[in-house]
Amino acid sequence: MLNAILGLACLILTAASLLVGPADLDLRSSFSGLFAGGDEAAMIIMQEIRLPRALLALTIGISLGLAGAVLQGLLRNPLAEPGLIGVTSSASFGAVAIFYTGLAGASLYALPAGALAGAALSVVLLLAIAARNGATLTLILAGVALTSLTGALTSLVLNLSPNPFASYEIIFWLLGSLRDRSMSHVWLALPLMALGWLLLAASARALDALSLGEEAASSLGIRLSATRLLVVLGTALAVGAGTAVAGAIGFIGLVVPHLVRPFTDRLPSSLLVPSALGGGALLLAADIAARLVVPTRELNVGVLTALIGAPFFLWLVVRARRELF
Amino acid sequence: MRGCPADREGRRSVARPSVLSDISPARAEINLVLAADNLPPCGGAVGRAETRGSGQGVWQPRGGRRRAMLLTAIVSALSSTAPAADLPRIMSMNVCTDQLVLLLAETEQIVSLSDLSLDPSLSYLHAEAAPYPKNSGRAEEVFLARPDLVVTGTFSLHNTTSLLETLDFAVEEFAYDQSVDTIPGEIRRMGALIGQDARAETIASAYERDLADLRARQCTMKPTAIAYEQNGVVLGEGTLADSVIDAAGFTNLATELGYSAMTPLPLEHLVSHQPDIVVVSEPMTDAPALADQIAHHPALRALETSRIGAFVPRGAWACGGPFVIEAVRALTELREEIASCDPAR
Amino acid sequence: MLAARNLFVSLSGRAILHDVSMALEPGEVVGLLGPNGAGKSTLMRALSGLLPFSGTVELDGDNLAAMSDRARARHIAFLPQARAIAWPLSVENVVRLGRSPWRGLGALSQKDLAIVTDAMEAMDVAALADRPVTELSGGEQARVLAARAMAQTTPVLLADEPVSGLDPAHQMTMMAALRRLAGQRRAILVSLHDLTLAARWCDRLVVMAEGRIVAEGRPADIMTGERLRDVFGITAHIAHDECGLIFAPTGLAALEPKG
Repeated sequence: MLNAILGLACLILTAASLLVGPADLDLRSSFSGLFAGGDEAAMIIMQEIRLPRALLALTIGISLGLAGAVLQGLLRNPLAEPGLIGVTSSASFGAVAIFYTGLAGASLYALPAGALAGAALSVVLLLAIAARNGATLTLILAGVALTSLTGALTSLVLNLSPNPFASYEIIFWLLGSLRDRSMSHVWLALPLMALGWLLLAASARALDALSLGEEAASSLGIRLSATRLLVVLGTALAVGAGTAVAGAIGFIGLVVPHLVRPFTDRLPSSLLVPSALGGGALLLAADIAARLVVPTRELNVGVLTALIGAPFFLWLVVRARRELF
Repeated sequence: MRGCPADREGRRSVARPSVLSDISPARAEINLVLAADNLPPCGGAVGRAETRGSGQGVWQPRGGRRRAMLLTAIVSALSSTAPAADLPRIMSMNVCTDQLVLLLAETEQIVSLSDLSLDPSLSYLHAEAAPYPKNSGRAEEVFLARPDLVVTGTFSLHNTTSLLETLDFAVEEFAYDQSVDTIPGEIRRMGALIGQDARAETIASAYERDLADLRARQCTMKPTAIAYEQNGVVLGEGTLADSVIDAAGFTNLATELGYSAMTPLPLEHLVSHQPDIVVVSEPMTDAPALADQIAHHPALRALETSRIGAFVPRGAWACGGPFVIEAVRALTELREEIASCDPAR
Repeated sequence: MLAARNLFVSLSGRAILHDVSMALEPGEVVGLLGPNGAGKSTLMRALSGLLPFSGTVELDGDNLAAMSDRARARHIAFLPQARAIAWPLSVENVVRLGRSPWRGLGALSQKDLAIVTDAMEAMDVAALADRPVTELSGGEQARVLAARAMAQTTPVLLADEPVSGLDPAHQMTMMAALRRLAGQRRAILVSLHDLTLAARWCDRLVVMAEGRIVAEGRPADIMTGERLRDVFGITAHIAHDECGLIFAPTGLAALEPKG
């Protein structure tokens, strides 16, 4: 039921996303532009500009929501989230470090390669920290440090680039955007993200067992090292590929699992599909809002998600002092 | 405040013509200090152009010419001496003034140019700029080099400019807003400032002649063109590119749509208006940026009736200078190719 | 059934278990006694395959180290001492996790669900089935987790201090449940601190000190005053009734000269 509602929300919001844009296209020409030939300009606008944007919002939202739910399950930490613990900012830095230095020419493939490496390294680092000290707070503080460090390094690389436009792109890498993405970005990111989803979903049973702690999970036949590997690779693929084409978009993976958790039996595995669909719906909605809030000037969608997510995070932290999630 | 008298302490002060038309011909009367902008007025333009122009030569770092200039209304406080016949030594801190100085000044006159003068996407004369020392637009550099005149753009480095004026350096600012018609005035003004009036007059009148010839090739067929720069920024009304597009006989779509200066234009708008020509920028190959990717967006390539390319020689319309004529020429030839003035298009 | 021979375990360079050998037989409840730090928990972890060790552990003649994780989990259940439950899961969902090693890809079968219900009833938590486990008292949580381990339906159950934090009645319930499992031809190893509980509910006791097994046998044979003094450092009044021994600690042995 919950999944059906969220799936429907994704469908409706995808359609809405396709209908929003600076060019005034009526419903009929939008529809014919999307599916058939029709008026040439309408066709190009729908198929080459709005469709990739909607698809990326949906799939990146799915990646972030799913990765958030899985990381919370693995770390048994309700505040774990790719953005908060520094995974997205590390992915940004990885992409920036390889792309702007021109190491791989101006090839777009440099972006996901760097982002995946950055994201994977950060997850490994965070797991190592969590293994030494499992406290919720330690992980969040380590994530804050990692976010600051990689954010600063990202800015540094962009400032040092001789290309005068690079420094204006700092904001994109810190607070992502889906503006003027194309189908080539979709083909670049979607296969990697989809592979990431599969790996993350494969960890579902293990996450349930981990609710009882690592020892109990092991005694239930869960191989912890294999589970960690699944999550590291899955998060790196899903979050890294998304960040490579849209910059760092935060808080989706924090907000969505919390919103859907009360409607589930709270087993981590039951949370995965609703979090993924909810993430897709939330990012689609945020991206629509980013285009509509200030009609003349489009906002970065990462700014909007942070505006929603950061107060939510604060509220969670305050509430956490009173009860245990 | 032009022609300020020497102040009571007898320090050097500055004569500053305030508008383009208000140029004093008394070239030797002004100590020039030139300052640099970070970015050119129009962003990078496209296309490789062969390098040419005057100003080739090797800078002699120690000419021993530490001197004070006698100005008609100004008494220099500098104590060093030099022959009065010497021309002013100039430091340019803006990529646009760099190129005017390169065209007009003697090699020995040039103290340094801005470091952007080497950027091929901004500086048409980047090869000519190579031999000279470079500055990065800081007041300290001016203070150490003690040029007679600093030239800079009006657009940025305000703090540097006012600091230099406080320190009694002569600073001349060149306007950011340019059009094909203001360029001859700017050439003559720079010529006057650096004591190269005759050379400036030759270049300016040749430019005026060429511009008039190209304009004469216009007709009633006016295809639409748009300059679509990095990040989807268009060059609208009031930009140099707008006047180039107009002089070449095109209608600038950005201006038609009511865009002025440098403004981002949503890609959807560009697609729905289907301009005949889309002028994009050639990216820096060694330093990629996402900003360049807009030129490769599949939506642009899908426009079947539009011609998209880097039609303007690289750097030719980034700054006001005689080389802008090359941009007008390239676009005029392109227009005649796609829409002949012959009634049948 | 479960036979350990010459187990050695060291953690970060420190030896925790020295040459431990022991066996569990179907149908018996074995109590594992010893002061804090004697190595009881480490022995249980090693026996359940959670720790690297040298030596051999065999299950019906099969080498434990060679078994897959899933196969091992179908033979040995381990109830850890720590009772950390990360999410407000319902009691029933926690107990259902015990069926993980047996589950296919689909939902739980009717047989699985019946086992889950039996385990909840055995631990007296069936009435709490829909309650979030994080809202329960410590004792209730302990019983829920024990029910989870029972639902694993393994021939061997290792329970690390399952009665700590429980009220006397539920301590009895827990021990009775373990006895009932033993009655189903399973082997139970349970570590305990309550000597009377151990002596009255266990068929056999294993006493550990400083990483070694120092005594093994029927309670009445090995739980002497001398052993209490040497191993636990206490003096105690020892009585007995028809059900077994009764220990009442009276003081610290360190205050008296050793004999």
